[in-house]
Amino acid sequence: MKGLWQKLMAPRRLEYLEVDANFLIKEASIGVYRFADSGENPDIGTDVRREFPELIGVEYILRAVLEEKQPNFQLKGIARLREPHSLLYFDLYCIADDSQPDVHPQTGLIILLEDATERMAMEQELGQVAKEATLLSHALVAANDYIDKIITSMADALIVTDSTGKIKTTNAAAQKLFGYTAVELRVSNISHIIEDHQLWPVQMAMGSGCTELVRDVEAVCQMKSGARLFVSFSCAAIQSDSEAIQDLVYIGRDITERKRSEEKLRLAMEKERELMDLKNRFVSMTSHEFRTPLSTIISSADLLEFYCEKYKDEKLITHISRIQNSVNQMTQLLDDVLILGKAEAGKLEFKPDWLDVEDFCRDLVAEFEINLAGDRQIDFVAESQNTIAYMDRKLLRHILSNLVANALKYSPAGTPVLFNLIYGAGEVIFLVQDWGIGIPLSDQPRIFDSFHRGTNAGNIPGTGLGMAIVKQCVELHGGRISFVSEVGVGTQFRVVIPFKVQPLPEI
Amino acid sequence: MISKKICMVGDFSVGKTSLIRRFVERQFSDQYLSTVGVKISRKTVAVEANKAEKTDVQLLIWDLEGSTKFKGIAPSYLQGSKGILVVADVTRPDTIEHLEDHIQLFLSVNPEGLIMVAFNKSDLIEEAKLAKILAQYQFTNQPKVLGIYATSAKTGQDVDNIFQSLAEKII
Repeated sequence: MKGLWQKLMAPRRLEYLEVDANFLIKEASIGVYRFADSGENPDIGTDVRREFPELIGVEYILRAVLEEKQPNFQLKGIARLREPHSLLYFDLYCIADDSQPDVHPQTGLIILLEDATERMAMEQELGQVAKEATLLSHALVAANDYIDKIITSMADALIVTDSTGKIKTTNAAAQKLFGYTAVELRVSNISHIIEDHQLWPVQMAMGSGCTELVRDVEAVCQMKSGARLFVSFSCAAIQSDSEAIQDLVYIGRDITERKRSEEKLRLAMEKERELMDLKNRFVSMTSHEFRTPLSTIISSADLLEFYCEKYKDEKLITHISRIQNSVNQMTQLLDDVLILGKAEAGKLEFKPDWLDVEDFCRDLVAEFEINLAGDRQIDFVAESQNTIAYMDRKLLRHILSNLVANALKYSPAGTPVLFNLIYGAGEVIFLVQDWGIGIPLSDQPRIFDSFHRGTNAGNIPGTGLGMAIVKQCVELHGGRISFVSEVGVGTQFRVVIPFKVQPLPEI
Repeated sequence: MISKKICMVGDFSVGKTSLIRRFVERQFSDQYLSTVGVKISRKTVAVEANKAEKTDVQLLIWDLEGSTKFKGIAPSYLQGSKGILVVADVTRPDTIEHLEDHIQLFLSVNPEGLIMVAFNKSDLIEEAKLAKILAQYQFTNQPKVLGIYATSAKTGQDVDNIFQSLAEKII
């Protein structure tokens, strides 16, 4: 038996043990020590479990093998530490000893031990690589997931494009900001969103080794709905191995609200500046316009005080008349300021009534003609029979008296003033034409502004309020005013007012 | 002296070998070296046999190759094991999900075997997250699970306790 076993086992590096029913060693091959726990050959008669603790706990299985209830028992890849950091592996195979078939039950077990170090070392090496790869892949997935979560939860919009601007990746904030779905954005180009060419990849200096291309650049963007947004962008190149293939990452923050607030603030400041200008113009105009009639009043009053005894009636009347004119001039100025103040505060009342416009105009012309010099005349022409209209008498007076007075004031003696009344389709048209100094082109856009006077007005007295009042009164009638003018040729004003105007609601 | 076989069971790289190394050799290395086959370590612990006296028990701790998607644990290794430490890595949710499968496998081989659960690498996550995991995995449907521990082979947290506790139960 012994000789046969050893002959069979030697080429396969197999060792064997024979144990009895109590697991006591009956026989062992000479190389068993290589697999024993102590590294030494076990003594005959000792318990096999002392050197092979792997058999502790499985005695019930060994007995089943012994009683032939189970054909065998095996354990593969048992490790033994031989030198520090060096492991020996072996397979253990256990069968019943049936070399004496006449003896029942079997008297013992044969335990075969086969060196498996080479196989297990290879398994370890392969397993190590595969497991490390799996761990790495898990770590990558986790890192990717974490980055995705960061990108998704970012409040700022994130867009990644290739070097042509084709969108590759977006986050939820970008989709929400521009109103597109992720899929819609993925087939789009950055130029469909950002209107500013400077932020398109083709316009940016890439490949210079600088990753940050722009920072906090404000750009107008377009949403899917067509609405426009102000977005502050930072853009960086994503470094890759190849310089030719470079992606870009855009981070955008919606600043539309901030821009709106800035615009509101700018408008408010502009308005305030305008009001300051208006106030300054008013102060300078009033001080100037009041000084002239006041000087006249003072000088005439002084002369009257010192020389009233000596003056003949004629001179007295002249001075008294000067005082009266000056006071009238100041009163007119104050009236104008008052009317305009009311109009701008929305408190100028519009009280229309049915009136005969032709009669109204003729009366007005007659009033003017009383004070006209002999060489001046107003040519009034009414081109209609029925001239009844629904208008505010007081406001119409402001309109026409200002226009006619200006026409007279800004045209030289000897030239006529033409005043036409025309009845059109559902509207009344007033034309006032002079052949006077005209309005310079540069002043024309501001001719209806308060206190603005033509730069060629020179010493001709005026408040700069008349045309502003006219415009307000025309608008209260629901009408419109226009003019054509040329310097040195003359001016024609055209006022168009509907027949019947619904009163505007009071503000 | 009584010897008792216990096994370390769990997915690969959850720290089974490291727990044994900490318990038996009081050492730790975070270099990963995968286990193949089986390696037995011995450690004698004193347990209370009855209320009055203590007795020594030699634990034969079987370090088994961790399971992967492609290779499970060979049931033959589990035969004759009085108990197991089933181990998961708290940083890898899938290893926690697999605990139940490992328990089932062990009980199919040893229906009377006892089980301790180790949520290992607990030093790597925040306490709140750990508490959430422990609350979520109570194994109340598994009467053979006698203890659940948050362990760390690196810091040694609860390593002795979990082995000691299993030794006490299997006596």
